[in-house]
Amino acid sequence: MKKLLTLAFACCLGLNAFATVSADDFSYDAVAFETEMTGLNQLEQDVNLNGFSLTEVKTSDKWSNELAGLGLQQAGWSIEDMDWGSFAWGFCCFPIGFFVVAINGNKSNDQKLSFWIGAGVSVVFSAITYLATPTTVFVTP
Amino acid sequence: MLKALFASILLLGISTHTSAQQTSRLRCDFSVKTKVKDQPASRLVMGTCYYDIRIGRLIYEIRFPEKEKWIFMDSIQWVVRNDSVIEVLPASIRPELSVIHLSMKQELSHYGLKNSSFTATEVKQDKGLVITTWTPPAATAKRVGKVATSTKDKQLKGVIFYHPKGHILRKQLFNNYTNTQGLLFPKEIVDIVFEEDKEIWQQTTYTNVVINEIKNNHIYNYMPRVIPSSKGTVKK
Repeated sequence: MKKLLTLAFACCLGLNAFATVSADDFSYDAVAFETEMTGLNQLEQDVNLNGFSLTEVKTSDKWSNELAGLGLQQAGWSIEDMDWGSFAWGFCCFPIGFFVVAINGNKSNDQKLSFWIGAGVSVVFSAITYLATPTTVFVTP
Repeated sequence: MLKALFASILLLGISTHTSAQQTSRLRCDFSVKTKVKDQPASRLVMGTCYYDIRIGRLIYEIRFPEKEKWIFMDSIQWVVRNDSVIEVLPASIRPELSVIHLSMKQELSHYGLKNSSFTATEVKQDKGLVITTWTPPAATAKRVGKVATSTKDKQLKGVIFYHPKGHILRKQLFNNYTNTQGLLFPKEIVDIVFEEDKEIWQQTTYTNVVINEIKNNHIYNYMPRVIPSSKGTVKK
């Protein structure tokens, strides 16, 4: 009996594999498809209109809340994306680095982010150094 | 399941093209919207695509989500940001199997299958569509499923990739053809991939199709300077 069932199952699989293709196989639910794509269509329109990058979209008033619902995927920023030259500008020489990196249109978002990370680390280091230095006590004669 | 799909695609690649070339260059704007059905995960990629059939490099100049270039050549993909190669990957598409290449070679109507190791085993008409079933070579039939194409007025309307057991792995539907100086090109491709527990829906749209462009040589000829290391990463 078991063998018979196995044979019947195998025959079904075989028939399935050789089943002829029909025009219906090429159809899809166009309405459901469009509905599913609504959010992405709106985002596409906005990007086309305003030339946004993803970083700019994320900070825009309209999209900052809606992006979470859209679940937009992107490569996350990691330490490997750090541009150490830009980091050094932020860490060592913030004022000049501000013009060289932060407001330079030719620099990428990763480079700008690296600059601000450098600047932030510099502030934290300075604060720690300041707090760790013993306060000078002036003794009046 | 995906193995069977990739094996099918690989088999399609074992093809030779000898027909005359009328269009050598194509540029178009594109957007690819990808969505996992009934789930929030999605992706939007937009940019401009350049292809010179004589060079064989497919170049995507991406402007969203971030500005970068994706260069496809043979079986390799380079990802370039600020003129530095940040990644070298196995290519997800081979230029000679792309819709762009097949359109330019006027082979899109059969999806390049006529020149592959697949054999047309059944042709029939159903609801105004001419449906052709393409069977893989017997030696690979256990690992590779059949492929079906549908055409209407000699325009490719759909392609379905099947698992060797018979169920559909992926369907591609080609809509809104545009005629640019004699080159027929679909403006929309709907792509549905069936995975075990989910469906991935993708819509690719092409606009502003320009053929045989004379300018922008530097992009068509663009080749990243890269020294690949053994692990697939690169030295900048």
